[in-house]
Amino acid sequence: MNALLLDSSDKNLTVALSLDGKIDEITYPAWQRQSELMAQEIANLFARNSFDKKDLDCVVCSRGPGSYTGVRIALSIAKTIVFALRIPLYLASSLEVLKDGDKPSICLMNARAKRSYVRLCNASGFASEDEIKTNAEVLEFIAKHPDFAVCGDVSYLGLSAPAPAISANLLSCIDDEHLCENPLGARPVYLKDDYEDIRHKISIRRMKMEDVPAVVALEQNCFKHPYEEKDILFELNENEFARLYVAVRKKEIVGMIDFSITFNSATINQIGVLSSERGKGIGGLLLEQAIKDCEGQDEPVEFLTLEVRESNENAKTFYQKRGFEAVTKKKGYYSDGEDAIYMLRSIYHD
Amino acid sequence: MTRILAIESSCDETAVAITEDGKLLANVVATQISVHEKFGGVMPEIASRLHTENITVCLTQALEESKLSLEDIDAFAVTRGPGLIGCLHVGLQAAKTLAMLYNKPLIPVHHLAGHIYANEYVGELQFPLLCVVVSGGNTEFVIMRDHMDFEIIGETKDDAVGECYDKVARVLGFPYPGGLPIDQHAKLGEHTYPLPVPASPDGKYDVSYSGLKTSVINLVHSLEMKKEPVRVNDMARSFQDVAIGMIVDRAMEAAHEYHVKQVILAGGVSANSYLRSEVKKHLEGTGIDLIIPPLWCTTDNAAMIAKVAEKLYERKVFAPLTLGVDPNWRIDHWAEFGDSGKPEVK
Repeated sequence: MNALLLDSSDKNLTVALSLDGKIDEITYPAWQRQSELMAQEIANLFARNSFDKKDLDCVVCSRGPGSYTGVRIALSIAKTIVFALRIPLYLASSLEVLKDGDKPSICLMNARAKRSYVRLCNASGFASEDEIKTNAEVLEFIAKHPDFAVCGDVSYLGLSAPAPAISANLLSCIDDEHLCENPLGARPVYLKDDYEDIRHKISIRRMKMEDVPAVVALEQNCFKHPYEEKDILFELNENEFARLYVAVRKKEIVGMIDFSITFNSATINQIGVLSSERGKGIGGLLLEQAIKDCEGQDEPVEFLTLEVRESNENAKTFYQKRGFEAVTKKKGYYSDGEDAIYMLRSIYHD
Repeated sequence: MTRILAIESSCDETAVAITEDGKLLANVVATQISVHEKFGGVMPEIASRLHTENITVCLTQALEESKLSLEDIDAFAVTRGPGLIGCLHVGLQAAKTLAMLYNKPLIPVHHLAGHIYANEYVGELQFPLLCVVVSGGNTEFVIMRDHMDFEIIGETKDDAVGECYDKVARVLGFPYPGGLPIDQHAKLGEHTYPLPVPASPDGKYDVSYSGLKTSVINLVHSLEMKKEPVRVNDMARSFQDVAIGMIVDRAMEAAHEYHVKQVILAGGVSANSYLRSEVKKHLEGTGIDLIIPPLWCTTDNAAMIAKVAEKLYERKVFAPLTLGVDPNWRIDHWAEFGDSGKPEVK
């Protein structure tokens, strides 16, 4: 059995040829050079073994998670080879190929933003699947489980680990479990689907009592002069005109709006989005919710008003883009003496 | 007999074509438009993902259509730029892998040279010629005095004209891509909105589109503020008159200054009916020939990449397996790609 083994999911480039179990491997750091180098290295490997492509029986390739582009390079090459030579493709987790032989292993890769791609291997009692965890969670696990071998390039965690035997691990993946049934349509495993998250998975719902701590934290993240817990509790429980909604992604509160409807007009008291989540349309969704509520009133609500700090250019631009007009200035409106710009927009706006 | 298999993946279409001595045997295009529509523009990461999924499916289909096998192919060509970097990588890997497996030349092709040579599917190029390259990523005026001889005499200094169409379409509430809906609405409207005509920012054949885009956006917003309805047909017409007028004016001046025998259009925006009819009208009676590409060639495809590859095959412009992509490759540098791969091979 002759197998070509490929991995470019992290900083390294690995290509290896296994000829009846004897491995000839080329592996070295090639961060962002894999696109240029991988095809050439396969040619070098074939040449130095006087290997004819007709004798290749299968390709084994890591399928992610890891660097998006890196994962695509090895997989695009692997798909093209198995398509051309009509041979089977085996796909392995790019974390699984970092494991330390048969020892219980925690296989890790930097997922950026203080997170890691994690997989536990050879560990009875633990699920063996690719996941994303925070680096803090990972370090806690490592501290609690000294019997686990730490595997991968873990310098980003301030740790060190021996170089993984990627080729040998890829070779061990030639089995039914790793066989790719539809190699033409094969696609990487990314784990992070940021686009989907941003565009589709934000939901807006009424704020509940249990959201109070998260909203207090959000206030502190968003505003120079945040509401305190008692202000929020007043708005939520006692102010009968106030309506509070939160924007939620995967159970995490990323934004909130507090507005009041009084007879024929409505006022936005506050609208806030986590600083890391701005520019993704979440503020717009919260505002749409307020407008929807206004439209649903028995007694028609005609206009929506708000005050904004004169110095808050981002907020003024946000409201102007959404049909608000500056009507007047309220001198010394805020407790620190700053003027407020009073803005207004008609509910029926097209 | 020369058979070329060409791969294109620079933006939102995964495409594979096979030619035999210039004759098109297979032309497969997997478009992603319906996916990117949702986002109002091409999302590079999503496009790269879809290329990875589609590439071998397109290869399979192209071989079936051509009734050839990979052993029959004499050279493998690929778009190496310009384009979206993540997308370019995918096509490049497939082409390099095939060239490596079958020990055949690898031909790096410039994407815009492809759009220009697409015109060879409908007519013969006559030099000197002026090529008006207008697409979502490019707006260039190119003089060709011979085959594969490109001189850029003018270009956009900011947005491409197609990009400007997409953004204006969004403001007017039209779907992505914005070219066709604006063209259709413009036919129903009058040029009633005063939009300033941007001056040439640099050289006399240069253009600028960001100012025009901003003028439309500001005008629409100020109408909304005043609660005046925006007459979308009139706005589309006013915008299109200015956006296309800028191209036609410069093209006509350049055609005369450079005494060209022929004008050719290339790129996605050359599908625009107003551009087509205006250029035709202005060239009538001048003795200058005009080639307008067939509609199937105005979108990205690999047939046009194969056309350029034939020229490069004759000249033996082949790349090493260490070829890299170049998202900003200039058309007049089409024969320069060696420096990208000086690998420290161990």
